[in-house]
Amino acid sequence: MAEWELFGQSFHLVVQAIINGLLLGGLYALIALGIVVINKASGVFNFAHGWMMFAGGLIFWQFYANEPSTSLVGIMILVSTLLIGSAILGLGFLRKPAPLVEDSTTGASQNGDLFHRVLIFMKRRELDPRRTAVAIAIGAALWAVLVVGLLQDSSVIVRGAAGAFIGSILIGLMIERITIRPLLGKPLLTAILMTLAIGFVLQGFTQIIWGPNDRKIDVFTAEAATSPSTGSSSSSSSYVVQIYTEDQGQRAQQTKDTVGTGTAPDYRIKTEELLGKDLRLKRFLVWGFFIAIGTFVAFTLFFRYTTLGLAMRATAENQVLAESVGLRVRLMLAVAWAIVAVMAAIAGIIQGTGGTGVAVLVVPILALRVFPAVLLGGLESITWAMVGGLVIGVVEQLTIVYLDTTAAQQMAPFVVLIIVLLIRPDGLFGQRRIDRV
Amino acid sequence: MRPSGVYDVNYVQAQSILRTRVDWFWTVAILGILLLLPQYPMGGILGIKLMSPQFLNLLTTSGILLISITGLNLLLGYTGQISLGQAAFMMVGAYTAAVIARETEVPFILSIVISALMAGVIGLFFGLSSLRVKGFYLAMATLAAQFIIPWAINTYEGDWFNLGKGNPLPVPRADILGYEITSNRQEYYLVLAFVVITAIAARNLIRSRVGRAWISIRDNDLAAEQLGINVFRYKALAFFISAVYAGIAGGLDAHVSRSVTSDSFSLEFSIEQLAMLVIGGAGFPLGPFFGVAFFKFIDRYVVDWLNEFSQDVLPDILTFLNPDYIPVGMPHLLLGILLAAFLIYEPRGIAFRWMILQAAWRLRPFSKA
Repeated sequence: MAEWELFGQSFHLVVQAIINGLLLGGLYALIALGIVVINKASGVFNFAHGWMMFAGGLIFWQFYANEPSTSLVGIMILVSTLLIGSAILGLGFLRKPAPLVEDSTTGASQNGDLFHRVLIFMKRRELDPRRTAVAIAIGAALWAVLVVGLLQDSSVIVRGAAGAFIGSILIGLMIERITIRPLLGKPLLTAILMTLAIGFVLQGFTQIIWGPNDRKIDVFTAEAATSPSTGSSSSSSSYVVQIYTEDQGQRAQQTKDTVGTGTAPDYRIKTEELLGKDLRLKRFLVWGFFIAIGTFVAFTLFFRYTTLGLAMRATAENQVLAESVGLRVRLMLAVAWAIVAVMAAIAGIIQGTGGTGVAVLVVPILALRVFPAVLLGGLESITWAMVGGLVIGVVEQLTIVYLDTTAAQQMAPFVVLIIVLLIRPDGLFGQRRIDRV
Repeated sequence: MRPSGVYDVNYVQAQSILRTRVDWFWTVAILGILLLLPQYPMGGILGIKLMSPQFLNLLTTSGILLISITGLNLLLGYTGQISLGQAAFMMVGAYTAAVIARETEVPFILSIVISALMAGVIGLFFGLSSLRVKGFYLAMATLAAQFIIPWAINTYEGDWFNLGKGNPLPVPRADILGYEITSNRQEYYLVLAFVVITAIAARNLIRSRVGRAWISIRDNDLAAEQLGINVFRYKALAFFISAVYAGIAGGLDAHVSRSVTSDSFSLEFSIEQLAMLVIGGAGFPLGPFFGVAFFKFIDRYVVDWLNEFSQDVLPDILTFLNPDYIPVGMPHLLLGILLAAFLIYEPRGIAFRWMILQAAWRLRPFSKA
């Protein structure tokens, strides 16, 4: 209908870009959350986050697109059992145990029957029986899903998710134990350089194991495919996250030719009367947005409402104080790194379902582009990290409309960054806590 | 660090760069070797091939790298500011030198000076946005430089310095007062001269008022301000000079490799330079030398050997590995592990170990180390 224009571009394009930007911003928010959590827990700005995303995406692809061998599945199940078991026990091990005192209410000492011994144990560990039961139930359910997911052949997505979950947790724990823990109390510069070193190591490992090819996670592009593709390198796609493309039909045609299966169509919003064209929403963006926001909300709730989350926030606030009330600070740091590794893996998988797949030139850079979003939120605040992610997403997509894609990828977020640094160095919304000179 | 009992007895001695006779001996000896090495016949005596053209090239590129890392050392090692954009500033220098050599008749030395100043000004611009803050924020601003500068250079349309997608920009040979640099050997001497000049300049900066101000900012910026040091100005100066060094290195690189592409100045290269500096020893005059030597040795010899070894051994043990992929990731893996190991076990780098070794040699036979 009406050809409204906004600064030389049609109104439809602008609305499309803003919606795409918001959808992409959900993904950015998830990445930003991971960076913020590490910054609060370890006091490190994690330059290796992109490579953690990359590794997580590749592990997902490995389990999604290939048949894992039985021994590998066995190892995974063993590891998951250990992890979840220790997580359940960890609920009681947040603090060092209270000293053993003779308890008059139970009337039993160390050598009572089993039930009383469990009660005494829980009392020493300051465990609430009801909460413990809920935690064990959640853990058992999670474990069941993992085992079923790893064993069952039909549901490749669950299998991939289970593999990526365990694998990324292991990566996070190893990073914390091997590289971050020895640096406790060392200068900030050392920590920054260490995350760069971690990035190099992860890059080396992923390249040695998976090679330089892009691995496509074709959840949305080839849903009908019975045998997922074994990750051929993408030669046609340029290394940019193409959200807005005019020749979408042509691309779909290409995919149809090469893969031989149908491509799931974009979601459409009927806006023909209002804007002149329908709005198109890419499938992976919509799903990715909801998954990312869901993960974001889940982790925010976790930090706010669970005992472990509370303990982690206390640790982030002041490590010495947390240690002095008996919290196990090192355990908290390990848990934080494991959680962030999982978040990174989810972000990497979402990006991997898009057009470019888990590409070495796309995914690690993605995290660098999100740094301005984190800064916008002031490095501290989880809520504002989300807003920052959405803002950066919209800015990028609008830049694609008004300039071009490379400008959006390489310039726009960093121009925002420079502007923020010049105007309010402590973030637009952050607490004024930054060291100034 | 000098042994006890060695004193300066006059001002000339106290102000000199090389204070003791031992210093003089080593400087003259090493410089002499470096000057004479390329003159040595390529065949070598006793059948030992000392100087192959490849080795000469290696020395030349190491020299260029050394200049850039010396600048980084002034910034990270002495002022305590981190920069993730050194490669981008090198890129500015390289493109400036290339454009000057292609489009104008400006003499070579002047073109290097201009490209150094150009890089310095742009480095200052990105530094200024972060001078009010420190730590992560600083790293972020220089990271922005690493993205924005290549974008700007790649986006510029026109044949001035952008010959279309991915095409390297050819650079004519350097011409010093009518004396054209043609052979590898001449390039080597050219770079060696610049290395010596920049190293002496760095030493002079460090032992002067500026260097002392930088060190005080690094150690405690609040105390430095209390002492009356203009922290803002000296930080800005550090950024400027570090970028100037990068610009000189970039300009030399353009002339030596005789082509410039934007791909060779990636973020990865910036991080590699940081890694080299930290491994060599940030904040020590010898740090960059050790770092570059160590890195080049690893890059040139150990990686190849490790590649062959793991291609032979690993696929038998870990059957899922593809031998073709191993050389792709091995350099990164090795550099990452080495950097992490140095950060954990010896954050002061090889140069510090060297000092300990020197002290032990001096105290022999009573030394413990």
